[in-house]
Amino acid sequence: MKAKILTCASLLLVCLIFSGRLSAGNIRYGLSTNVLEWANLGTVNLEAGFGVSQNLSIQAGALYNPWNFSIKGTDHQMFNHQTSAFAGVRWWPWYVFSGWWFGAKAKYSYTARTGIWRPALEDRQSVGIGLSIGYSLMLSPRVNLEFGAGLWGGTHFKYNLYDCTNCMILRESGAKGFIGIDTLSISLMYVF
Amino acid sequence: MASIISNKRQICLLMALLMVMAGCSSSSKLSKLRKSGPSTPQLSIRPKANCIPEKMGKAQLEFQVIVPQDMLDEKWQLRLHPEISVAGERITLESAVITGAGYRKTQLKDYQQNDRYLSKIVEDGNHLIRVKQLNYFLKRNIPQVYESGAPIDGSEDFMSAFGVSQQQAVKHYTKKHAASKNQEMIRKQSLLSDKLMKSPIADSGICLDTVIINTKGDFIFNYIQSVPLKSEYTKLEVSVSGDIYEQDRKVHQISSSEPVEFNISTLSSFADDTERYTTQVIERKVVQEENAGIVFADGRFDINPGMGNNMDEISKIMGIIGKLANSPAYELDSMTVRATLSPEGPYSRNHNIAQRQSESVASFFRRYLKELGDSIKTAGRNDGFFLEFIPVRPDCIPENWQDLELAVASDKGMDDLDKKMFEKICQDPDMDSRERKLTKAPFYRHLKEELYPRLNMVKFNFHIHRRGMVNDTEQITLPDTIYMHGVQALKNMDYPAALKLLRPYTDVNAAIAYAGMDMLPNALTILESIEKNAKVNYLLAILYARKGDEKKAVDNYLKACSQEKFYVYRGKLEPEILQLINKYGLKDN
Repeated sequence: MKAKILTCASLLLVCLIFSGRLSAGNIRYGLSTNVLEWANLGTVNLEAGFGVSQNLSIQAGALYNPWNFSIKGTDHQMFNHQTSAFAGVRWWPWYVFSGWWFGAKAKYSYTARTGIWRPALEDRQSVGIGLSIGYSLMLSPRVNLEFGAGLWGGTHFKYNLYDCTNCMILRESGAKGFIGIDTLSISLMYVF
Repeated sequence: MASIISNKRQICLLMALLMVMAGCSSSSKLSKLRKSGPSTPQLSIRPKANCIPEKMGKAQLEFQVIVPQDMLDEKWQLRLHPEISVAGERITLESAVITGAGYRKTQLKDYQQNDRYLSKIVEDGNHLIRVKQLNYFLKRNIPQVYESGAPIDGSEDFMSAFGVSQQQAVKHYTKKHAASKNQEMIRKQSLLSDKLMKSPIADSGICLDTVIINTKGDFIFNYIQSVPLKSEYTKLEVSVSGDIYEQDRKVHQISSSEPVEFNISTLSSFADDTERYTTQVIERKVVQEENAGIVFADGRFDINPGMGNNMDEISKIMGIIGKLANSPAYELDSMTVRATLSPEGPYSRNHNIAQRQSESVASFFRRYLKELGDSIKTAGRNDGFFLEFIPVRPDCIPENWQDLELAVASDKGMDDLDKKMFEKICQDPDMDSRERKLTKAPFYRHLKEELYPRLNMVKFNFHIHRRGMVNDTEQITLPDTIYMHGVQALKNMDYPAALKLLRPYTDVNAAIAYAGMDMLPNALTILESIEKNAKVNYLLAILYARKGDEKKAVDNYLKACSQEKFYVYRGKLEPEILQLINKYGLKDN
């Protein structure tokens, strides 16, 4: 619940920040959404970027997935619940929102997933930092198509693994460190 | 399978054998050419006619060049260089090129290679830029580029919010590797073209470039070239030499052929040298005018030789007086000294100043005349006695409006509007009122600074008479130099200049000038109207022959021959007459 409120608040904050900059003339800012995350069981995602100089932009975003799916022929469910928020920077060698970029961010994530690879329920809260790289191709003066990939590492400060959602037998618990793929993205960005 | 392989082997062997034979064929031809002796193949010339007429200062050389079979090979290119030897000069004519089919094939292959290289060079710079991305970038970040309507060529440099310029954007979106590679190709283009096209196909400076396919038999071609003539060109010797090229290198130099002589028949050789005179009416009394820019100090009227350019101006006038005093042809009667001023200031004041200036100058030159007379008397001559009594009359033009109007009319510093305004102001009969109006005109400063100073001068009129002449007028006879210049131009075959000078005259020289310009009707009209001596009849024969009226041509030629036997032989040197002699069987008697 707390996480949900946090997520909504960050989304609102992002919108408020950028709505106040609508009349900034040639100063650029953009909103993007990752199509691959949408394909990931309908994860709602939004990222906002704000160019502070020719080569630097501040990024912030959030992901939210509350959806449950039933597996046909069984009484099991499948879901990949997620509530994440991140903030970071991108360095653009040429110009903000054009061409190659390199990113760094700090991220908080709550994830609960089951039924995708295994019936076990994995429930964790994580914080960490990530690095990413990508390319932003201009499709028009306002629209970009972005390709990106990122890794992140940190700690699952709360981690529980249950055998299944029906039995809820705790198999594993406790904090642990991790490093892994953060994101693979094919995003559509609108630049204001 | 074995039989196919065997057949293929046989074909390759046959081809190799043919190539060797071809090679042997051209090298055996070369060794034959390189041998010196009576059997060595030579170039030769066959003229169409040995006598050629001159027309409008040029002669048309026409001859056949015979290239023997041994000089022809499909792998060779023959470059023939005809040459004229005349009056100690050698003139090279336009070359002729005969190319073997194999040689041309190699040339074309080289051109194709070169074209392939050139096709890789990108001419349009836009192809080296990622134009779409650049346009999106500019529209997003530097929209002023499109909003201003200025050309997107970097001439006006707009900036983005983060200080990136339009030019920087163009540089970023240029395909750098492709652009530098393209530049390198352009840089190497001329070097590579020279390397690829070892033997380029000539497109200028030649009169023939033919490709021969069949190298059996001699090759004969007609060579026609128009040659400008000079007056000393009566005979031309024509010969032809050449070079043989195989691929891009010279393999043999062909020695020069036996020279063939061409006789040039020119109408200008008939020019009449007789001097002409013209009569001129001269008057006893003559007035010589001279202007001197003598300046005076403000408020002063005496001449100060050290002021401004006065010394030079005074010396100029003294020089004229001295020449007239010593002239055997002229005698000085009187002088008028007229001081003129610009219109500045009231008329009455200007009148006073001009009058006193002219009196001062007159007085100065009266003293000079007396001194000059004394010095001549001292030298022992009696004519110096009269000099001190020569009247020197002062006169003045207080405001020289006449010269001012002339100066304004030809002045380039004033436009038509100013000149019209000036003309209107000058219609005012009151000179002071005119001057007041001028001071308010926009061009007054220009008038005052540029034109007024020219009006402040002293005009000298020397009234002289011709010594020994009693009557007021006399007729004299002088050589007509204009006519003589025209005759000289005629002899130099400069017919346009000759016609310009001789047009007013109706004599044989004018007729020749017209004929030289190919204006036959005018020439014939003059010749028909003058006394028909042998030369005139002969010229009529030539011109009627050129016109195509053979009957009149023959009649006039026969008349000329009956008047002077010389033309019987002369006619054989004239191509038009020779043709008539042969056609109508005209005998020497």
